[in-house]
Amino acid sequence: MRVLLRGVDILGENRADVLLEKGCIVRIAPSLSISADKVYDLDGAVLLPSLCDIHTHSRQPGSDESETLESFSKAAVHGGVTMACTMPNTNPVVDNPAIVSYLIREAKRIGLIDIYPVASITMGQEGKILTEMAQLKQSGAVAVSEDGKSVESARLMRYAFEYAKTVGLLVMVHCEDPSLSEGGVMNEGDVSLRLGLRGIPEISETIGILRDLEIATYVGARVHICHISLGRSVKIISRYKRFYPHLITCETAPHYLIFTEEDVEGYPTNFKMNPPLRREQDRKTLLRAIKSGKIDCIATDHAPHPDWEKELEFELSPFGVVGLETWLSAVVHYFVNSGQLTWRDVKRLCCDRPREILGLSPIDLTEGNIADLVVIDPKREWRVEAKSLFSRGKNSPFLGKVLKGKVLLTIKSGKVVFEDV
Amino acid sequence: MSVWKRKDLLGLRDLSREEIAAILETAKSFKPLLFREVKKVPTLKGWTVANLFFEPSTRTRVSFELAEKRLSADTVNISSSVSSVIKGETLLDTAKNLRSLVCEIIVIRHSIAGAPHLLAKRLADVGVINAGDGINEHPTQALLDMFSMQERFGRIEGLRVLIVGDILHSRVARSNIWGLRKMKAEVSVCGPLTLMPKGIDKFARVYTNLDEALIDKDAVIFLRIQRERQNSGLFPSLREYHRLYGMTEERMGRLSSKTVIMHPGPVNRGIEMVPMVADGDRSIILEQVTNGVAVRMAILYLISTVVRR
Repeated sequence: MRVLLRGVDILGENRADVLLEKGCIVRIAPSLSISADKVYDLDGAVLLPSLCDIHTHSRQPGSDESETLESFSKAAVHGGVTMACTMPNTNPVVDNPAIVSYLIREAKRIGLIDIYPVASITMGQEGKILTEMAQLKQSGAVAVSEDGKSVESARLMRYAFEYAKTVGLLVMVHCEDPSLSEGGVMNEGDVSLRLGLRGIPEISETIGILRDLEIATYVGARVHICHISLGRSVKIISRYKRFYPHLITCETAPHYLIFTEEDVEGYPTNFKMNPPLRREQDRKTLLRAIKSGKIDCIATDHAPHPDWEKELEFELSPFGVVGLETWLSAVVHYFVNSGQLTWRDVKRLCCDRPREILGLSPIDLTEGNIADLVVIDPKREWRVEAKSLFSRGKNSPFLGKVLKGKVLLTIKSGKVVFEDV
Repeated sequence: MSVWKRKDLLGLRDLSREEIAAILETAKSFKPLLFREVKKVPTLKGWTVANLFFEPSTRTRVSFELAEKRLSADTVNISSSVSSVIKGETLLDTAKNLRSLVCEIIVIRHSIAGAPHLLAKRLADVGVINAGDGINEHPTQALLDMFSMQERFGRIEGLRVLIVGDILHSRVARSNIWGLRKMKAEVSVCGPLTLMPKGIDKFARVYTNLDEALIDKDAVIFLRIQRERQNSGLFPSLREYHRLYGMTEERMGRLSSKTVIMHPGPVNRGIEMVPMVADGDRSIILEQVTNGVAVRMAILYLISTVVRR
């Protein structure tokens, strides 16, 4: 199978024809007159490596009403994503090798994306007994995390870091001091006061981060800090990174870069997530930090919920929003089209650094490399609607918005897995 | 009356000064009715009002029910608890059923902020009145507080109003703060910092010392303290709370002669205030209760002019 991409703009820097064969990029030239099984005229749409999302919730096993691996895979490729790390807070919890193997095998059978499962730190996420991390790693888990909550006992967290280091697994931490955030549903501040909603204070996140950074650096273990939402968190992490540059990485999610607590006005449940949307000054600091590299990467925290769970009173509705399908579009719409980020920034934040965090090398768009690719038209507009999303979860904060930037092709190992040319 | 164009009353934060004035003006015209031999007008004859209470309430529910009956509306009372809602029927299910039963107005009390807003958004042809949502707003209570102040002082503008107690968990405090500020009163709050929401200093002057706070105030609203709070670490004991923030005989003695004492009820005697204060000549607590009916009649009437049947 030969696929010819005609007139793509490689990293938004030079226009060329790109020929794919046997899963690889075989030729790149200004103009190729070669026959192929499939030829796409892409007229200046931008070519990037396909995206790697290191923080998602596939809801599998257990919650078919929120997402299936099929709908999850389709949502991923619709967003230009071909690699996804799935979090273990499922039912049952991903705490044993059988479930890890199942996730990898099922994703392969569906054939659109690769799943890199993250296993839990403790059995059943109960915060008592460590999981069998060596066997989890052997069956394909790329990291351990207690995502959605923190391991409450600092002593057990120390053991987790030490043991994960022993077996060579990355620990991804959801940093939150639950005694401070309990009962809260949005950022604590002026807006929570105005809306009469219970607040989640900043210190619940920063104290969680400080604890885990202290433990990880004390025992010398690798730590990845999930979904930071605060300017203060950036400052704290940067300070530790200066002394332990090889131990610490962190991510933020697109919604923290685009929305603020003000968007919670009117109680829309598609703006309820944990950590919550913060203040405008936090949004700005996070944006500067992804540009400068203080924050390593962007990950979506894709968290599908069925409509009937989100159409509830704000406090009763669960935390979390979907993100796979709007990730790249939103980054292009809000930041690339406005000149705040370059295409190389996008590659670094959404493709290269996520892979490096998992211990994989980046994919370069040169001859001989694997053809895991995405083509996005930065000028094409689309309206985000429930029916335009492949995910079973329609709980997107972008619903009703028109985004300029549409994925035209997603290619995995040379095979077109999504097409909307 | 053309200033009123809303089908819902969700909170005072959204209302304009003119809208609040319109409610107070209308309430004034309804009040004499409460003392007539036949305490009834046919304004809402043939209308159905559902009182949907997801939290226990006696005063507010009775006050609404009387207001509805004085306007000749048919009323249905539904008491439920949020826990039963979690088990099965959602708020929207309940509301859609009420619409199918052809209720034109829903009065809702709910333990969660924004619940009335959700109803109002999804039921385009039904009027929704917030009778208290979580810690967010209790607009009819604040309106009856303001009505009582206006009756007593002839104005609201320029009044110095102090709210004492658990501001953090109080929808009465929030609605009063938003409403009184719109009407250009000076609002201050007093209580321990553990019971103050973050950022409150942008909207009201904050006192932690009651004796200082009481100086030169026109009206002082004491909030009901939930007894459960003392076990949550927010303050050490009711005894100490009373000592710091309770209205005592001694404090009454130092109060300026014009100051009135208010309370949304029911009063925890001996905690927020000693009985002598609650029952004393400065207390307008029982006037507040009467005014509540007039204010709720005004709101029901104004909303009925917008909800077309």
